[in-house]
Amino acid sequence: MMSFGRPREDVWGPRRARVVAGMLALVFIVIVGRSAYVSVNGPDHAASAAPSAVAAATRRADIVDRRGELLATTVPGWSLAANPSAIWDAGEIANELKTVLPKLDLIGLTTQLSDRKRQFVWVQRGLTQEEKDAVFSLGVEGLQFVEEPRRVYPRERLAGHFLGYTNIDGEGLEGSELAFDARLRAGGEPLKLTLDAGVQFVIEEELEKAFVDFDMKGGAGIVVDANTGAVRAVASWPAMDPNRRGDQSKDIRTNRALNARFELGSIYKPLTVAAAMDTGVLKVSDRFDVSAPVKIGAALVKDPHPLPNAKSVTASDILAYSSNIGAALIAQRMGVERQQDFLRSLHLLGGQSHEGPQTASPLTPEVWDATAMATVSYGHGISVSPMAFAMTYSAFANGGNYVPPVFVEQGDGAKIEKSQVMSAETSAEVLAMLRRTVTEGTGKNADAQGYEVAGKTGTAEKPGPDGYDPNRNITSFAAVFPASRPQFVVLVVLDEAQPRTGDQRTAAYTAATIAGKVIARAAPLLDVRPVLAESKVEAASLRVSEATTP
Amino acid sequence: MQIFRRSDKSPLAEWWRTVDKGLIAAALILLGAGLVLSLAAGPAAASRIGYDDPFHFVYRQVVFAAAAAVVLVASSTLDEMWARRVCAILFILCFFMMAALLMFGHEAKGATRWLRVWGTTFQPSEIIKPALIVLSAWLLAQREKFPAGPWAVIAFAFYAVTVGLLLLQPDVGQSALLTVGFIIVFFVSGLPWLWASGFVVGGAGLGWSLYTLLPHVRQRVDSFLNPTQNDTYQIDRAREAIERGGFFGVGPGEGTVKRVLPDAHTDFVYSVAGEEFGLVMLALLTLMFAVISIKGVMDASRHQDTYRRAAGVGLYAIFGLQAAVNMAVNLSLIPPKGMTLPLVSSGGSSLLGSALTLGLALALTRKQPESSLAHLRHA
Repeated sequence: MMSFGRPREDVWGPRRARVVAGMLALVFIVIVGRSAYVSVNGPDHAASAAPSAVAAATRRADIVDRRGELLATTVPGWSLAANPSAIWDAGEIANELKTVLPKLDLIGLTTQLSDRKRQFVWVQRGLTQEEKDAVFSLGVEGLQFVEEPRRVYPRERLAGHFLGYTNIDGEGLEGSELAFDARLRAGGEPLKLTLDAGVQFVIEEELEKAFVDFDMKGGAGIVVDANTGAVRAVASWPAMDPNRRGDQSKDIRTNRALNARFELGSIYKPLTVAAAMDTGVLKVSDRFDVSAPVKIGAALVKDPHPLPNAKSVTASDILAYSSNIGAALIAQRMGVERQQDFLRSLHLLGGQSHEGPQTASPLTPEVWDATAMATVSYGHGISVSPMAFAMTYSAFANGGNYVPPVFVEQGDGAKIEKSQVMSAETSAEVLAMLRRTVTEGTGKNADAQGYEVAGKTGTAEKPGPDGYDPNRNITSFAAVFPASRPQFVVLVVLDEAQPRTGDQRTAAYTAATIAGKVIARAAPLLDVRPVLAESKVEAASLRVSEATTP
Repeated sequence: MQIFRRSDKSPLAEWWRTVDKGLIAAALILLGAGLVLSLAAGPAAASRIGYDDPFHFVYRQVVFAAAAAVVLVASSTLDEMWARRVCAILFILCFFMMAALLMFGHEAKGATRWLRVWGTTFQPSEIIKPALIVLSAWLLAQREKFPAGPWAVIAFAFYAVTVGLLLLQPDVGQSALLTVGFIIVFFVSGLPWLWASGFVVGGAGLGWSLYTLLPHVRQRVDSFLNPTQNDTYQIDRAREAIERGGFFGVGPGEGTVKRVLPDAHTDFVYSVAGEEFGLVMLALLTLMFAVISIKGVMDASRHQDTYRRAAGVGLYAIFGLQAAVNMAVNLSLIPPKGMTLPLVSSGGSSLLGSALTLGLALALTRKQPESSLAHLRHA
């Protein structure tokens, strides 16, 4: 049997007990030291609240219009994450979450939450305050909210294409959000665009109404300040709400004003006339016989609607009644080289460079022979973005200068990159012809009273499988207003407009009408005063219409 | 504090004169801290578990803290003989309960430690710890009176069956704590150094076999040693909470850890304290545990009676060590043990068990004129 010798307890007993006390003291010293180390020496306390690095990033700058109206901003937002290793019953939690977040995929989520090896999975990102509160009051374990700033566009569809959107991590993906990404990420002062939310709203609403009347597939509308190049409105229809980001089709997401190319048709004719006049090969008094089709190169150029007095027409008549034959004959006078040089000087053959969202590069004839020269003179065989084309008409409004588009409001005294592309005289003479086109010719429907609209219609058949298809048109109207002291360029482009009344699918009845309505409503917003001198009756009716225009 | 006159020989006056009033005050402070922290962590836990009443755990804590105070005071009034008898009875009861647990216990979180009693759960291992410590101290002290008896072997048998039951649950944390407590009792009772080394070797062997045989032990240890591969979610959140608390804390009710940790009101109440009340509260809690266990052990060391000294040292030591283990887990010093913070954590068995531990220690280490006289007789 095991036995112990009698211990000398009065010597070692208390001593051994004190050893235990000493050990305990040591243990507690370590605990206190560690407590102090962890609580005082821990990482930055504010930062440790959110595990994601996103939260600590600089707040993305807002985007405002030229009057400071908020177009894009960043608000606090939350994303819901889960820690599957801390969840006992994945199915139950997935079911509960589904009751407040109906978009969740129940089976997928259950599978994810069942993976006990994982400690972090996203459940749903971009929660609203209401959704967050609802999840919070479920009171289930293993969930956490990660603060993630959310980009919102308070005007919803307004300028949606132009603003673009960011991904969930706040990186610009489309539109201005992409083009100005670096500037916006740097934070600070809001990015002030040249856009005018009021004008933008007008043009978007008129395009929306146009859909009711014309059932078109798509459309674009642009308003530009001809003197500075400042873009006051740039719209694409169908409109897009950037708040909804990804859940919109590619067709809706396409920005038709910047990123689509169209054969814009007869709105090129004033460019042809200007190019010829400026070189001296065309005078205002020169007359042309456009009564019969002409063959230039391989092209037989015809006029679908014969002109009045077709045997002897001026350049002004050619524009007013839109003669393809006339435009081709004028082009023939100046030749291919001058035509190309002129279009190049207007940046229609590529080489557009400006700050902000870029435009689609043009499609130009592969072989620029006599045939191409003839078709290009009236806007066929060349495709450009509406934005690129709109800038060319600024030369008719500012004394013959090309200005690149400007999307960001410049400070006072900022240098405008002008380049003279035609003489001031040429510019003024073509402008007068464009005014006559509206008062007497195909542009009558665009004549917003008091605003002296000068413009040109364009109707281009769309290329189909068997050549051009007469039933599918691109109709457009390019305008400058007011003609007596020109300031703004307006371009409206409609893709496959189908008027429900009558059989007229030409721009005279579609795009011109829209452009007229846009100008009538937008001019007051752009501080353009109507001209009241034309007649007392007109002036009176104008006051009425002014009073009723919102 | 002269409340009773020296001439007053009533049991209450006797108790008041001889008990360590400082330790009782420290214990009451801890119970109070537990109430405050249950207000912080309780509602979050209640809503997480699905109780309609957000104050479910707060009311529970009030009831059990009051009961714990009663148990603490009542058990501290026992004399050494009654303390031993109570422990014997509790040991037998708990022993059978733990045996029964293995057959029809309430399984939670991968372990069967809880027995459903009166609609609530009861964890007998919390009660059997102090009982075993007292009984082993008494058994080992019998060597002095009856040196021929195999007292050490009997004590070791008691210890072995208890730890065996704990390991079967499996509750490695409590087994380890009980083992350390038993070694301390043995050590203070006159354990030869040979045995000490035997225990260390045996303990290491046992630990290794636990690691290889029990998957949940292996996972816990692995995840602690290799945090990137395994789950250290709980202790990471706990440590982060203490970091967030800083010196003065984020303020009462402002804490976040209680919402993410399932055991915030029990095993991780220390982090809740650190987050909401800061280092100040952590230092106060640690100081209270240090004072109770160290002063207690020193009180016990002055007793000439081996039984009282060994039992007192063992009881105060397991009380302090359990607190230290819990705090070390919260501070990411050691892997999670599933051990509560005595007197503070929510949980009835834990509160009553730690109150009993402390009460028995107080009872056995009361100032005793007899023992000083015995000392004189020896001299």
